[in-house]
Amino acid sequence: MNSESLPITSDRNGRTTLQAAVRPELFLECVHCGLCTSSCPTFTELGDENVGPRGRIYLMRMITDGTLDALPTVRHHLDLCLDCRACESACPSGVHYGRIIEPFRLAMEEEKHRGIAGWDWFRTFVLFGLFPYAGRIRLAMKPVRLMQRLGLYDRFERLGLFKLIPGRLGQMATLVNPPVDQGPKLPSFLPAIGRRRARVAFFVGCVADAMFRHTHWATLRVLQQNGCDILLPEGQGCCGAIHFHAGSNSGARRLANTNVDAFRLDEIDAIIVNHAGCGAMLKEYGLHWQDDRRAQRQEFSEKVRDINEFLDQLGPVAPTGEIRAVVAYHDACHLRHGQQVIDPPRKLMELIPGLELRDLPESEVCCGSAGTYNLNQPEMADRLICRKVENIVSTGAQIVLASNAGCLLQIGREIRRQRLPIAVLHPMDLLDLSYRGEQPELPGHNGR
Amino acid sequence: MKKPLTRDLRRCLGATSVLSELGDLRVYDCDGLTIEKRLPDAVVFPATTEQVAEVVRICSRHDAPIVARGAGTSLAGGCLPIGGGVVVMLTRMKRIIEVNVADRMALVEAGVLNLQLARALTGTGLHFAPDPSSQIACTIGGNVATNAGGPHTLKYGVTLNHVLGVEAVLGDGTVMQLGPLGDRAALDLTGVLVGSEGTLAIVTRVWIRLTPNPQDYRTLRVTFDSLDDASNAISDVIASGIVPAAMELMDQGILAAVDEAFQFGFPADAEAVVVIELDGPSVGLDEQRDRITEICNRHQAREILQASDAQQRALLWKCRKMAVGAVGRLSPSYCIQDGVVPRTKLPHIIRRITEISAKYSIRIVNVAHAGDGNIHPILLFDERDADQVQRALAAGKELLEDCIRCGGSVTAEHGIGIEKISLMESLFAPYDLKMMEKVRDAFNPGGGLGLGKVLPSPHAPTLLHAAVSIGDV
Amino acid sequence: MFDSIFPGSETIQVAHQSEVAEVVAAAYAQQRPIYPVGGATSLGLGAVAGKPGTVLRLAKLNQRVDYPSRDLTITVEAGMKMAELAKCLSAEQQRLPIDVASAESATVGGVVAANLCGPRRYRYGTVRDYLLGLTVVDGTGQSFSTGGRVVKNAAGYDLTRLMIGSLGALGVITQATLMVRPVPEMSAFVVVPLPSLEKAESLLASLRTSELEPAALSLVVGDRLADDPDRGAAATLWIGLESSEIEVRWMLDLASRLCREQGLPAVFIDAPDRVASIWRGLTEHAAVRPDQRAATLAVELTVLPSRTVAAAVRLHQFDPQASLLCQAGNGVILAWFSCKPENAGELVTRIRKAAEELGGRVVVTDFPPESRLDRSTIWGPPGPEIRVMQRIKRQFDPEGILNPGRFIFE
Repeated sequence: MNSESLPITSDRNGRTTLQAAVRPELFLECVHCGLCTSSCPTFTELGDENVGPRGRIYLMRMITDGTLDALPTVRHHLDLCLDCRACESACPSGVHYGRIIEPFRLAMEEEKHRGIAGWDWFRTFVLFGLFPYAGRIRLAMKPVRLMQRLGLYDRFERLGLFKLIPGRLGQMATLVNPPVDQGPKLPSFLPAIGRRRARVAFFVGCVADAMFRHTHWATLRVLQQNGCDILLPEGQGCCGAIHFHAGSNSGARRLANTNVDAFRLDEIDAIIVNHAGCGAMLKEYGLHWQDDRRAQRQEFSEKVRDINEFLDQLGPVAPTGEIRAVVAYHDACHLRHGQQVIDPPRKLMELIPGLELRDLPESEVCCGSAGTYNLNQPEMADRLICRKVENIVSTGAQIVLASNAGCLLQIGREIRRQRLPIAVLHPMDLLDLSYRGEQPELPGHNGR
Repeated sequence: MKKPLTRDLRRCLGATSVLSELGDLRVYDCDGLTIEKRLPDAVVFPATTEQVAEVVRICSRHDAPIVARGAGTSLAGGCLPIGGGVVVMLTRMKRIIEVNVADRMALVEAGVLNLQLARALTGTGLHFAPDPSSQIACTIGGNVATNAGGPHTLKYGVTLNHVLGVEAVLGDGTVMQLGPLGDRAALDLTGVLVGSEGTLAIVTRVWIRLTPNPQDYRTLRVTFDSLDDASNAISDVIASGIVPAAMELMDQGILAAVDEAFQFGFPADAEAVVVIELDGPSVGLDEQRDRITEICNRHQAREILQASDAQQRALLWKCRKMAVGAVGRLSPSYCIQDGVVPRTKLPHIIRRITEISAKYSIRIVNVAHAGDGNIHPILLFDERDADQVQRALAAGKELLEDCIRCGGSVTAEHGIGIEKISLMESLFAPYDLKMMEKVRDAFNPGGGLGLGKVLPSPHAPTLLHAAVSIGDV
Repeated sequence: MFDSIFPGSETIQVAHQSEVAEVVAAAYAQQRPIYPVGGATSLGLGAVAGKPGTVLRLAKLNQRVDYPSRDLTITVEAGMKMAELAKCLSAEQQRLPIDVASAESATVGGVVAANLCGPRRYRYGTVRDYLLGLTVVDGTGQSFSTGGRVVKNAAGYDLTRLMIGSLGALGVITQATLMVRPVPEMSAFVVVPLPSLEKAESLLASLRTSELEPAALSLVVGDRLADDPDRGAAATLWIGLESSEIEVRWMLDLASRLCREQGLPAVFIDAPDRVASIWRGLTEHAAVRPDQRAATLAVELTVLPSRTVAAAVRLHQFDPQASLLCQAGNGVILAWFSCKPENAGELVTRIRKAAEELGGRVVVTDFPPESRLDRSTIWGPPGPEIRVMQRIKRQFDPEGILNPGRFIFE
């Protein structure tokens, strides 16, 4: 990554303005061919050039050039972007769409929230006050977890009573996954099983830790099976992606620096992350901010590996436990488009004896989760998840896999809503079961 | 002034299917051709043929021109809303209505993507043969409008050869059903509508002829030290009586861009790579390959490699199809030409391209559906530099005039749009054009569909003299 | 000579393209009908001319204009005979894969205007797929050109397609540019005598879904080809195969295996003389013998390919003596019925009704002149798109002098 890829510029007062948010050169990479449009979930749904990648780049370019005002409709078109970056995979010219829309939306948010009129309770208390802290998320989920235990949650969901909870909070409540045994608190070190092949550090995160600690345990056991010593450094926290995408640039930078401080890079071969959204953010630490710590963040980023990618590069120890099930794999945008990790999870699943991996149509299309998108753009998110689940059902799969917390929650919610007999798991959940010779719980089997 | 128009459109389609605010309209002021821009008054998203017809009737009442638009990948300005008016988006009409495997045909709505159809046909053993490079994004309606081609037209023909009929809305709002059966008791109106660039009618549904998938392929990548040798070899293959499925030329400049995008490993110092594909029953392919190898060797081919599996073949084709888009890596702006010459004139025209490039100091890189004599020289420039823009336009014009002199044409598959209208008078005699006008008047009497496109008219923008408005984009 | 079709008309021969324009311009000035005639092989197609006028004979307009064989295109004047064209192309091992009966008389312009084709259309298509450009004289006597001489061309409207099958009603074709193909290395037939017409159904279905891509799939019922190995069978399927020798041998194997699977005997024919004779036979079969014209009704029925056999069975029910030539891969059936002139109209109506029940269409391609069938009986009732066609006709032929009353127009 060179300095050319640093997109953020500021006005004289040190504030990012819309016109100055993106360096004009980045727009010139786009030759307006339109080959990206069909990869874009929102364009595919609405068929409107305004909500396709080419159109959005054009809009941002016109605002930057000063030939178009940032009208409310224009802002809406940009807000509707999932930032799934499927268009980057499709673009033959290598346009860095993410590096255009992200700083631009950041500037849009900052501008919006500069005055008190733009103050947003949800953003301040929930997104920035809650999400970075696994403990607080767990605390906030208590009422929902209690309802789940009392059997009220299902009834609420069925009757649509969550709609009575205002807007985005109601959306959030329905996203909570059913309670499972999450396992004990994570240790600070786990040793390799057998010959040691690598020494890695594990990135824990916030939502992932609060809601998917069982997947963390599965991932750690898989790493042990593959001969990895694992450090779980104290002092690490949220990756900062939620702040960054919701427009809190400084908050995101603070979290990034905290994480950089927490990991001793010289002691480890890689930093392992098992959720795509966090992984993509960690890999971009070196890119987002220009200050004296940029080089450090860059070094950190270079060590980050998605778990699927890491195992594939290491050469996975073949699991032996047979799992007779039909599975479909959904590509999390931040893994496929954001990190270009496409084959490794599929190759890992093919190692599991007995498992039948079926092609999921449109597996590369966003499920509508997209960070906090499903909270801010519920209508479009709904359209996309319905399309996603329709595709999943068409495969006849008993299990759908995704390597990202947001996707797991989003797909899980719709599958519960439609009462479909399909389990939603992380690839590491399944791989771990195979190493341990155990079977997944399939909803169809226990009558749920 | 335009309010009653948008009010009527809203009443017909509902508010969410009509855009009329400035902030919503700007992205519709151009398509894949960015050197000319015009703002529409409204953009509509009909969901049914009846809605399209109603929109056409409303526009006709308000005297508003209409432009049909699909994916907006036209490289000739086919979607430019000249004179304002209404852009009719067909992107919400994307149902595949019927696939009839036994009769090898399908009925699809105009907004169905070429690739969407290809995917839907998986497992049927059939495919839609036209495979333009914009395949991942372009619509079948757009393919019909431009009579789209692609690499495999060499053996399988262009869109015309694969369209059995259409449903179309005429300029007065009447709906016409043509095909899918051949009809001796009628004029071939389908044949006329294919390639008419939305200026005769708005095609809303298409009956497609499906082609059986070949049993097997041999895909060769032939590297030549000299561009001249490559084009001579291509000409000789055609003359030899072999009909490859495709024969594609890429020159050194484009190879560099493609390699940067896909890391295929093309040799950096070779002047040309030719991709030759043979298809058909396995038994006959090796013999054909050997004959082609012999011809290429006679023309000093440096290296002939055969794709060893489906994955390699797919990657090679991806490189070829993404080549044009990849030029964004070479230059901030480009203009791709679509000339066609008799196939034996290929070596001549390729040499002329080099000369013209030098004459105007405009870098030109080449891809070509070489087996068809269809060249795609890509002129690279920076649209912020007005002088460069003028030189690029002039170079493009000279090149196409050369194609005409060779007995060729100025477009093989992209269409005339607005971009090449000024060349129509070089290509056709006045009375030839007059007859085309007569046909347009028969389909589209008011001239409201595709105003200012295809034929010379007072509405048609003359690019070479237009103040290039890129600076204010 | 043409009195039964163009009663009261005079005949003019032209030898230069410019003369065509002169003759038509003069006729335009006098509002006198022009009836263009090439080889006079398809005069049965269309109604009897209502008004006397000038029969414009184009057969002497027969020059080769340009044949850049390495480009695989050829430009000829419209009066060139198809046989002459074939001879010219064969010198370069090339051909136009469109089979036309009476090729010694039929002209290129006539083939375009009447949109003729034969058995090879299954693999190779029709005139629509080979015609690149035309020169035409319109109804005011002015000449215009369409298309071009290159194999791919998207410039302007495709008036070339408009002229195909327009039966001289939009203009007089004076010159044509065609795309041609290399002559395949080998040609062969698999001939399958069928115990019943119905038996063809399953065989055709299995052939169509196999990897076999025959050049022709012709089903012959009634009158047989001279080369038919078993004239006692109810029908004969001719599977024509063309390609390189190695591919043809492979296809012969595959075709006979598919026949065996259906329990049907298959006869192999690969001797070049016999193969050529069969192609000729299948092509000439389409022509009505002049001595039988007075009592023969010929129709062309079009249905979806998968309904060909069903349609053939229906036609057979009308008249077990009828002869059928089915291009089974295309859903096109040519049928000949012995019929008294006074019954022809009624028979057409019945056939058309049956065809419509199968989703098909019927046009009359020849009929006893005495029956004087009218246009709507010959061409069938027009659809709503006739309005556009009429507007085109008026644009191209404002005085209505081109072949009036013969085609779908007045």
